[in-house]
Amino acid sequence: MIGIGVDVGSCSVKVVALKDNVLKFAVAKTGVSIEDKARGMIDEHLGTMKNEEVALVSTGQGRHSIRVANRAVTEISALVMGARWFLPSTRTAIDIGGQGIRVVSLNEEGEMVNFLISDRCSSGTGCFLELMADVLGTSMEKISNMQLSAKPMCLNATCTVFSETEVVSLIARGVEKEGIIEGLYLTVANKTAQMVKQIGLKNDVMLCGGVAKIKGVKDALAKLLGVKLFVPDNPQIVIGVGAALIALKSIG
Amino acid sequence: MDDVDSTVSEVIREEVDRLAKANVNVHSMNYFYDFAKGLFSKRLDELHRSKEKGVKVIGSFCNLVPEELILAAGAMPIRLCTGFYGTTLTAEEVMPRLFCPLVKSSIGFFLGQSKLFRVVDTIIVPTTCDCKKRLGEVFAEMKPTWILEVPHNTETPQARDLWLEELKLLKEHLEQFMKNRIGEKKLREAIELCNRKRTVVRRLHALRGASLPNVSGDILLAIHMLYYDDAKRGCERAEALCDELEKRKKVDQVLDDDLLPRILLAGSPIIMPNWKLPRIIEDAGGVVVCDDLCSGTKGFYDPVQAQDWTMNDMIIAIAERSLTINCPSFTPNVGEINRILRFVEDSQIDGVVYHVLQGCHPYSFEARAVETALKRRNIPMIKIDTDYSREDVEQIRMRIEAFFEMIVARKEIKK
Repeated sequence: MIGIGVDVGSCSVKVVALKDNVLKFAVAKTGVSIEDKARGMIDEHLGTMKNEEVALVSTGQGRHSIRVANRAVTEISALVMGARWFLPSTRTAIDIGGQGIRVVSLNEEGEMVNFLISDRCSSGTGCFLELMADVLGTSMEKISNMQLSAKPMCLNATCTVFSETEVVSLIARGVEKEGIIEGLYLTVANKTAQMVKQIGLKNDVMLCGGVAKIKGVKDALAKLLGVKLFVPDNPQIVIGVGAALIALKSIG
Repeated sequence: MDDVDSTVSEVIREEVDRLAKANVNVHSMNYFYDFAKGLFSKRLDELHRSKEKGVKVIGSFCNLVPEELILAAGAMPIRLCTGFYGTTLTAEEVMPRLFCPLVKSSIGFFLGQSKLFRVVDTIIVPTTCDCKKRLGEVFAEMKPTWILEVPHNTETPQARDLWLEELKLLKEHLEQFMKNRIGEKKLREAIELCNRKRTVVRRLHALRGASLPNVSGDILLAIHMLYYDDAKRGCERAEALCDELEKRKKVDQVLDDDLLPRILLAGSPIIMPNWKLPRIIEDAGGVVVCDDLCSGTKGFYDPVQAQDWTMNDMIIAIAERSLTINCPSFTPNVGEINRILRFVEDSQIDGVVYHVLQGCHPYSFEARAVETALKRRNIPMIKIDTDYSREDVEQIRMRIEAFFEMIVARKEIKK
């Protein structure tokens, strides 16, 4: 029995296969023909599945575009399942993706009791950071691994477009790049922390989604919330794993 | 013809046709579909024809304007609240952008020279929320406008006195405007007609909560149209709808999927063609078994309870009734919390979808109080902040689907 989760995010597609608790996955940029891409990724990366009972569950913003899926679920339900698989004691799961921040709150039984999704503005997410990295003449990969010790610049804007203007003016004033980047991390962390506080912080806390790979964001958020954050090895696939688990459950 | 009325009619037709397509052979709904589609054509033409015969048309906003007085004065009342995104853009030319889309939409119809603008002789605007107050100022530049002062701390005796005086003044104003005295007999007839409308809405409210085939979207539309239709004709058609649904209830296969999320829809008004939220809820498999919208059940919930039908008694009864409407501009407004809790219990609600229009601070604040009260009863609520544009449809869909997945998971566990 194989459960496949296809998480069609705004920036990347994550395909995850689960069999007897063994995980295989692939990540690629979201293009235009999403379904073909997902199929290609399954064939290429996830090995042979002939003679196996397979169920496929799609999730993410583009969940309804995967017609071969047995079922489409929202990333909220998938996040709950995925977070529990990586860390059963999760009570708050935070996902910072390409275009949205999601926070779910679980009770002692691990059932979801509430959730929050950031509004239509994509500030404070992966897309935002990517755009800012571009403005700063660097890339996401580079800023993720940057050793930072500079004093963070205070950035006020909450909108991607306005932030860009702000960053450009900081560069023009000759402010060092590191300070601006730390300021950007703090902006993301602030927005996320606000949502976590709104829903109510409960330990243990998991941080996932592509942005969780950026140590600077994780540290800033942990400091703001005053808790330890658990980040799995491949934080961007947590929602995909959740979808794969839901697929497995459907086979029984 | 490319005027604002035909543009909005096109958008309404699309929404209504979708509802009609999903109809489970409830024939009495055809009237309401046609009426909705003709709102900016047939209905306005009808009002125009009455006008040519010398009848005056009085436009109003909000449930605080007593329809009884307008009817008793011999005028035709028409609700001016609109739900069209296109005209909000027109209004932004003269209004602040971060403002209530309902108010912007209605102003846009006037600026765009809609028939709606040409048909009304005068407008009554109550000072409920701040957006309505400003709306009154803008309208006063274009049409004779009567501002009805509404008290907000409605539980004090001085507020009740002020409100009663305001209604007495409105009556005098209407009499002068119409050159027609409002007599006891006429007012009594008007009250009885409006109460008949309230009775039929309560029947519909009870029927949609029962396990009928899914007609929830249709009932929401039918109740909504009663704000725009001729009072007597609307009553008759809604009564026919009730009769048909009651008959169907006896013979039909009822909704037996007890995992379907039973939803109470509350908050800011939902006005045709802004059917965005009800449509997403239905697409996601939810059933709106109950609403507490001021474009729906809320405005018709309580009847006017006159005792001895003297003029003074009737005016007092109208005044008292309107202060039980639970308008979110009232403070405190505990009546609303209690009503929502009662609806949740009576209609076995699984979750509340709370609609907040951009710039609608009264409902936005009330959402907090409602959520807190619901939390104590372990009923989940989701607040949807939106406006009349279509750009956030997919994001709202995601929230609603996630909300329903949570509800279904809870129901499965309970089972």
